[in-house]
Amino acid sequence: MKKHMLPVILLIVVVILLAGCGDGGSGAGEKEELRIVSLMPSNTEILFALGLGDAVVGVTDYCNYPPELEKAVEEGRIQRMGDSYNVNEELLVSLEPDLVLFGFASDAVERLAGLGIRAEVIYPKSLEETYASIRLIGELAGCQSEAEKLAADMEAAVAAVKEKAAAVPDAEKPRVLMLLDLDYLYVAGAGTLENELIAAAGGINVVEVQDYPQINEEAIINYNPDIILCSFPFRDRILAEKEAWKGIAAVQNEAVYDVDGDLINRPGPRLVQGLEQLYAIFYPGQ
Amino acid sequence: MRGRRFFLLVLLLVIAAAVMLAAVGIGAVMIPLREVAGIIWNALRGSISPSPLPAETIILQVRLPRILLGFFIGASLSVAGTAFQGLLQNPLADPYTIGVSSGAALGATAAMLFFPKAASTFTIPLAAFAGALLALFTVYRLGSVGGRLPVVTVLLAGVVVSSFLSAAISLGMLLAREQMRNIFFWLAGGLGQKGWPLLLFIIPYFAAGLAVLLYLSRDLNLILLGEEDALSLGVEVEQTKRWILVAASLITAGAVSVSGMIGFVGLIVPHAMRILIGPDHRYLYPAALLGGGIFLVAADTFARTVIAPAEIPVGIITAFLGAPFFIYLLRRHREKYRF
Repeated sequence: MKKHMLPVILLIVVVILLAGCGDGGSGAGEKEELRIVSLMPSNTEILFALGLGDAVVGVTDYCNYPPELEKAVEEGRIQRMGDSYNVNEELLVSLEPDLVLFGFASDAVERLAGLGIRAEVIYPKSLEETYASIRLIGELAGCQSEAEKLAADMEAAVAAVKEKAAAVPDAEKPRVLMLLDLDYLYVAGAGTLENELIAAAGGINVVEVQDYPQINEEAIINYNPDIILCSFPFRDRILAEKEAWKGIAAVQNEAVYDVDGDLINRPGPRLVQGLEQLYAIFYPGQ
Repeated sequence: MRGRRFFLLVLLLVIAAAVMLAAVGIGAVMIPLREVAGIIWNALRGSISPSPLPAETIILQVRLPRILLGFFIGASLSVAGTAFQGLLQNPLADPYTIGVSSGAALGATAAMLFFPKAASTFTIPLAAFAGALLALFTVYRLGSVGGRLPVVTVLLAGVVVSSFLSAAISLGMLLAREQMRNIFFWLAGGLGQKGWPLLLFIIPYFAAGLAVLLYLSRDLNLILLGEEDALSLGVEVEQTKRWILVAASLITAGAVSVSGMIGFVGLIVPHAMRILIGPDHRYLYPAALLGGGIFLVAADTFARTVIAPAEIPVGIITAFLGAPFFIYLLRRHREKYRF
């Protein structure tokens, strides 16, 4: 039930914010002219959630949310700029942006500053940093109160899941493996956003190696996780092809799940949906 | 001389057995040697438990096939490298020079790009193999001049086809987007997660190719002394070269389709063996087979244990261990080196 409520609430929030931030609520004159380029899907999602969709003039090829973004691209109101790493600077400057949000440190930041264009690198790696980046974007775009509300709502929703999860004794928590690639076994390890979400949803990440290591198949059999999460659709292949994995608890119980990677590895507003999905997988029927 | 070479081959055989036994004993998960021996003994007697313990699965389904695959891939690359270096009379030739590997890579890339749903552990090697054969056919046609197969044109055709295919792969990756990750990983190569079926997939090509190469090894020796001389001694030079090209390419195609491109083995091991055992291909091929197998199994054991449970891509290890070892060999035996 809770799971279905959240998108609705978010949508209502977005609608309210759209009215508040985009179409000239407080101090409108300046904001209507604001032109923003976002070079990271998570930042694009934050901008739209803050009601700044109309101010966005450029996004990456990988920005695929929210749905109205696609329409704006088709109508030519928003330009696709390539991926986050290889940005066409000519195109960027020709869009005459006031604000450019980079996803990775780039030496273009200084060059743009020389042209009088404000550029910031925003790449949160945790829930806390995500809230902070929402507030920062709000500050940069002049809609602090909307940003404060969005961040606070996220904090509250995350806290609610964490509270439920914290009530579960450690011994009863599922041991979880988060798989990013099946052929070379890249997994989410300690210190990653995925790791934080698993813990927040009441799971225990079996991988203790830092970052996104390539893990030995022997080790995976030895971890014997209760649940395997796949951020790309590997479920069918795991159940059908992996002879050596047949003894793993998650495979025996068919507790192998394809999850939407965009909801768990994009440090934006939809992390809350990702978190609630994980909780629903870990504790079905609760 | 013959006695020494024979002794060296036996020594390599013993080392190969020792390295593989040691490799079965060590891994990311510690399993006591006594238990390892018990598991293998039970499996050999054919008594496999219906619900195997994790240790059994790890040894029989993960470690053992990976080690054997490593041996055959290493042996394949090394034998193919030896053949190409001899055939093309070029010390910088390796199994990848002739473009067969780029063909395999393009086949795999195309499969992942156009049929992502059907792409699996088994269909990708098949697509790669088809690509390799297509590349071989192209190089063969481009390289033939009036029914002959001159070394220079084959080499150039190989390099050109290889560059063209690499560009096609880069373009494919650019267009692939969602699949780019898969293609990138495939190209990087590796021995993990292949299991028994893929091991059985490459053995026929390896065995058939090796048989042809061994059969023609004496003729290749004569050709290397000079094509004119070989002709006058009754060697069918063009026929021999053709068969060597096809056999070595088939071996490469089998290996690359399964493991992706693992560098350094096919270039360095043949040279190392040439230093150790001399330029006679009748001995060089078996030495390259054993040397390549030993080298890749050792490198892969390193790759899967040094930072366990995480892994290092084996290509990094082959270059990292191989280069210093080769420099050592070259410095010690410089005067003995003959091509």
